[in-house]
Amino acid sequence: MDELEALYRQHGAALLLFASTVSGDRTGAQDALHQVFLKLIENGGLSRAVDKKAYLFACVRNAVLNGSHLQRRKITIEPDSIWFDPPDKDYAAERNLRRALNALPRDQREVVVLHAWGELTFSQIGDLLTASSNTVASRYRYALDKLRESMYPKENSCAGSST
Amino acid sequence: MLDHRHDERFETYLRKFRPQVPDPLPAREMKRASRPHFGLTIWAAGCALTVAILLAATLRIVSQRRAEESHHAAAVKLTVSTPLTMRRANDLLAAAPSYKDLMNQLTFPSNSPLLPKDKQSALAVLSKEKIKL
Repeated sequence: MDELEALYRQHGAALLLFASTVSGDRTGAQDALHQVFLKLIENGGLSRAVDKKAYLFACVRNAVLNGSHLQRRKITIEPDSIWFDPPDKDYAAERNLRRALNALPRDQREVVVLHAWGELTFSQIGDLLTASSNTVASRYRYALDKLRESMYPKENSCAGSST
Repeated sequence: MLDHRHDERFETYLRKFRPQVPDPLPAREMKRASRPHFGLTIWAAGCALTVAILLAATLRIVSQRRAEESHHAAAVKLTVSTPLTMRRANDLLAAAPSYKDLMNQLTFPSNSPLLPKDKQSALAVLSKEKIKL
């Protein structure tokens, strides 16, 4: 149980973000995340999982997809729910990012969240989504381009100031 | 090459947005989830306690019986082997299970095989003899 609590502390934020991007419903995502961890505690942990982090993302994805009515590609994001703590408390940029993520197709959105914030490799994501690493990498590049297009003015200024 | 560098910069920018931390796992649910282990512990402790109580009760009963038997034997022995004095009477009273039992024993003493033949009462000897008329 201690291991699971440590994993929850370590990856909980990324897992919740991933669940939110899949479901679009923050409360539902939170419930799914709790459900996954409580089930794992009940079943005695993650001893059988080889790649524990990837396994957790897969569990959360399954829980969200099984527990929700969404089989559709487009999700409606709750306007008041905040997903990120933005740099410099720039909540307008946070909203832009959420909107840009929402505008992506689900397969691209999943890939970008898993790689950028979940810190999974393309290979791990490929296993999780049953796609090849090349396909995943390609989806990621498309997703980045679209996000950049959506957020360009803000991104340009921030990225420019950081270098 | 330029695109790749551009992507990396954009990635770095995206990662500055930190995903919000989820609510902590509900403690009540966690307790319920881990209850099988707790239940097993309680069950084992209950079993151990029951066994200990049964053992203690058995030992107590056995020791009580032994004490009663030894007291009874001592009383009989005292009754038949030596004459009754005040001191012996007090000893017998202390050892006897009840006052009534002691009085019965003293009043109607049983014939003891340990009593030597020359010390048996004539009446008792005569009562056993078959007198042919």
